[in-house]
Amino acid sequence: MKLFRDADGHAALTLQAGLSVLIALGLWNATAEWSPILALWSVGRPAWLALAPRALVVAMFLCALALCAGVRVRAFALTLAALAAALYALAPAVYHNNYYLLWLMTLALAMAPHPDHSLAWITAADKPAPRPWPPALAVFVRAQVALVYWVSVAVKLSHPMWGGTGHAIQWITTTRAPDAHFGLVNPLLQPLLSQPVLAALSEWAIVGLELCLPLLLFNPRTRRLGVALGVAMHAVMQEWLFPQVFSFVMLLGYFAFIDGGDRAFTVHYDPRNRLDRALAAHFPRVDWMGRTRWLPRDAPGPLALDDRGTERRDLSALRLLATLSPVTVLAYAALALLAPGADTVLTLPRAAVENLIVAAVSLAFVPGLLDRPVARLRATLDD
Amino acid sequence: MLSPMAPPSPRALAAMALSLLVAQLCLATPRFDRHRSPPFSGRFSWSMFAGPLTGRCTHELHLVDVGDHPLPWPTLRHDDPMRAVIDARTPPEIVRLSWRVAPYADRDADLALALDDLLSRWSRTLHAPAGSSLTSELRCASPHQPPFSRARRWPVSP
Repeated sequence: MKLFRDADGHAALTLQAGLSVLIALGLWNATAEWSPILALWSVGRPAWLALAPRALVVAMFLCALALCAGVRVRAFALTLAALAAALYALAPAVYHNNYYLLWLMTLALAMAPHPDHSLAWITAADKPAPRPWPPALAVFVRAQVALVYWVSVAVKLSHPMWGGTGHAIQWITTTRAPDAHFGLVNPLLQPLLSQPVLAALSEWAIVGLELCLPLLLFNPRTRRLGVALGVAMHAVMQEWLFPQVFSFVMLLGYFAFIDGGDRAFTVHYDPRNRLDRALAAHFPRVDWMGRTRWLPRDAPGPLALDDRGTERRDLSALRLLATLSPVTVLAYAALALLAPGADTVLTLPRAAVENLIVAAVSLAFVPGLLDRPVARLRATLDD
Repeated sequence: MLSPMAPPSPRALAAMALSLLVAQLCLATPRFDRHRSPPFSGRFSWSMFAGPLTGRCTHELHLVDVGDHPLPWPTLRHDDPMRAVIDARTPPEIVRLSWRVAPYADRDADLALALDDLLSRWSRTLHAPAGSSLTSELRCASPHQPPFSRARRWPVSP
């Protein structure tokens, strides 16, 4: 039972708080999807019964808010899981595999003993170190992430349309994606992925990636590569096919592979610079995993992050900082899930707007592209 | 049992994690069908391309009088959910409807069952001349499935 020895509690609190927010966002998003389903379910039923599923959804959402506040997390998670099961029993048409994954995570929150997070802990700049605790939740989430990838590989490899024929990818790009949304990525990919060779190659790439990702994540030496590949895969999938809450549950799950609390990244900031001061004051609030230590510089200089011996400056430091906080995943989830009923934003398709925002943010992750402008911008913020 | 501070036993934790994982594998495995047409896998399974049956179904829905002559549909509000059911005739329209009544259906018959349930409830709310009835005919020729058809008739309240 070495797996369950007491460990640093940062991962447990991060998963608990992060999953709570994703459950709330996922439920909020589900309301739009469930609305026409429940309208059909209500046809011809007595008014009191027709209201029952909606009452269950409201009760589930209240439980999710209690989870976000860190109030009796296990009790509310268990209640929410029971209410979701009741909703499924009453109206099975609300089922979706994404919500099933969210439900399993809720069940894990209810079953894994852990100290409750709190709003005060989540938002504090000077977070007290969580007490060591058996990492049951983290172990379950790691296993669940691996299971999702490997079952997905098994399904793909055994299906005649996958297995490197290219037919599945061609079906997705020519039929599934155009039917599902008006995003900008599929029209760009379609000319390429309609080619049988490229479609077959991308099928093998997806299967290979899903097969390797858990192995890369479990091994501390390859974890960073695994996270980079996994984030790239989920971001492309999200912007291409919009699997919604599924993407974010998987990305948050990556934090289960890290023990946290190691303060492995030292950030040297310039207290005479307003951007640096703001980052030093506020980043620790979102550093739920306890990965960073912030030290003021004696002399003027760039924002510098010591990445295990390699110094990363300014935008390069900001890029790495963004990957250290689960709040990045939650912010991305909020962008995708907060306006569930909106088909258009300012006359543009909502999916296209999300594509454009993510593309704009992604530019900051292209090495060398915006490094100089950001360094110059930072310099203008010196006192 | 729910106390967050109860000292957990490592053996119990391992059993909990394992049971959750094994249980979901047990749920997924019996539904696995390598001959299933896109979107490939069904309920409780982990593939991004799981979803409703991509049936090749057509549906005919009519309100008929005692002599089997078609009657006009009663006026429905613009947001009435039954509009989608009346309008769903072709396979793509049926697929869109199946998201709402029988997602992750494993067989064409599951879609028929969901439609039966919905239409029997709706027929009780319709008002039409005495002897009228609601008729529904579903025909499917989905890949890797035997041809399926079913016809049903429900009396409509006068």
